[in-house]
Amino acid sequence: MPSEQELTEVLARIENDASGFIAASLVDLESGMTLAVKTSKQGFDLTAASAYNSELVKQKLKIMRTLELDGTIEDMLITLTDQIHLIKLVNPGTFLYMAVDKAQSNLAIVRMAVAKHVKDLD
Amino acid sequence: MAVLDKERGVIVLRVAYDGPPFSGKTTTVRALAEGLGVEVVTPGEANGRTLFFDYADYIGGIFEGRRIRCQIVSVPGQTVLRERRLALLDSADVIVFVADMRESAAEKSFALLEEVREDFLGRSPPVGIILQANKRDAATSLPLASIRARLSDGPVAITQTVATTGEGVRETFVFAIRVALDRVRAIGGTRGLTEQAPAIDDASDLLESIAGLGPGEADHSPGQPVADARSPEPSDEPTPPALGPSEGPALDAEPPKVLPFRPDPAMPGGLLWPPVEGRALLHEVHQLGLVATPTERGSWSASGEGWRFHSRHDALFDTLDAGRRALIEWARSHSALLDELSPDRVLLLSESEGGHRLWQLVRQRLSVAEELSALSGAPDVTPLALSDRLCDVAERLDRCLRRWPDAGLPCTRWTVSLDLHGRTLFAGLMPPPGQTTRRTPEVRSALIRELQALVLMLGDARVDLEVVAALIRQRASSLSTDAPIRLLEEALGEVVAA
Repeated sequence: MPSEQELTEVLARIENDASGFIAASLVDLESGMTLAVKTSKQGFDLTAASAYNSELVKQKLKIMRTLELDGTIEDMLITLTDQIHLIKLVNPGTFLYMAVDKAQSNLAIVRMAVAKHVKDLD
Repeated sequence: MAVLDKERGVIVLRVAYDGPPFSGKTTTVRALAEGLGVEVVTPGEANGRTLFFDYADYIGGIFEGRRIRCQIVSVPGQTVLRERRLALLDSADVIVFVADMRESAAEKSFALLEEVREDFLGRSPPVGIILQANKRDAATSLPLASIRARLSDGPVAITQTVATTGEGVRETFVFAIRVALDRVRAIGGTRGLTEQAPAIDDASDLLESIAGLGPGEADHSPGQPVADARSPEPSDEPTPPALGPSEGPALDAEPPKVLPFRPDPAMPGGLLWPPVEGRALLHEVHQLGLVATPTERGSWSASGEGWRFHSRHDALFDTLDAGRRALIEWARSHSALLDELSPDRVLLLSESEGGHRLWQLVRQRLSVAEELSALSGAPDVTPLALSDRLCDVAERLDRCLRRWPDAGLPCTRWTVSLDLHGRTLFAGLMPPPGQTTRRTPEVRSALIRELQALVLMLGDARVDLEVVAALIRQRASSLSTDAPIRLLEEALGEVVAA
């Protein structure tokens, strides 16, 4: 597994490629703990956001099991009035959580930036 | 003498383990501490001989609505350290006299016990003495009837132990606490206690209080054990190794190391689990100012104010990355067992000793053993209430024994706890993630062992145990022979018959 510093560098590269970047974290799904964090906005509680989003992913996986769906989650998108939040599963136990400013970015840019670097987080 | 520490909301009692050399005092205290999940501090030791004391601190049980804090102290057995021994015994609320009851050693034990009885039974109120007949697994161990016959002229209770395996050690301790509480009752209960913080609050205070007593430099060369006027009798304990100039710490060794542990509530999120609730709990823990003490095996622990902190000997990491990897593993194992665990647990990684140390913080809860012990000693307890509780605990232990060991959680009367909604919870320290493959015990025999130990704790219950046994027999009559209540009936029946 890459070190925290290496992971943080990958998040920094995602920040460079995604305009309107607010924050991103790599999160351990089971425990909700952050493995690396990067934020450009003071006061954005990335630790809490990551922990709660891990619950969100776990609930979605539970729904899928209940519905007996065979597929896996690739990503989850939450669109707020002023932000876009993207959750991208890196592997079955880890996900990338990222928030961008909607006014300065769009979904295509976010997806491209993430797709470009996500393999380096595994 | 016991005191009421109002600031911390606890009654502070001291249990002293006395006895002749090589009787198994230190082994007893270490076995007890391991079972209680607390650490032992031994400030000085030379070739297996205690020079000052062994010390452990444990909070458990309730008396008149207050938690009981037990300072567990063993004294040095060597004759030349008599001054230290007497100073330690002087402040005891109860004395557990550990005696080697093999034929070859019993006379020395009886002789010393006689001295202790003369000194302490005459005090007002008298200090209770329990004879812990140790080494009961030895072929030459005296029969219980012979021991009783030797003690017929005075009020000394007898328990039987094999300290090397821990058998009977915890039960003796629980009994000792009850005897100590009887002494508190004799002075009017909690209201009769002096309200003050304990003068001796930890091992370093205790060491300071007795460091000036005993042999001086002339009597003792650094690194050498203190000469004992008594020649050590044959023992099945490990033979002390040959003496050497560099072996063992000096008598005037440094006071024990302590590690102030005040976790920072503002610590980075990635070093803390659970990420959100953990921070809120850290705000509470931060105020406590607890100090962790080390053990010989290199682990650290602290307890107080309803919390237990523990860091294993192998939980110190050279790099932050290594520490974080371990933290994630521990956090995953906690998350996976969240439904079974008692609430208010924190894992954190803190800078320490030039590296990063992983800590486990657990809010203490009453175990079913402590709860039963409190209930059986309550002034208003009824046989029906006690029998109901016993049956409930037996069934819960049975369920936990079937479920927990596969998940790596040890199930004993001391690790099972109940929440306000009656849910069964694991209240102990979590084992490391790698230990989840331990062998699953045979449920029936494990349950019988736990139930026997539980009913032994009811020896001085304030209700007629025969009535309790009859009520349980009534409930058990329609159940299968393997039902937990049936096993409880058998265990209680044996105690009542004895």
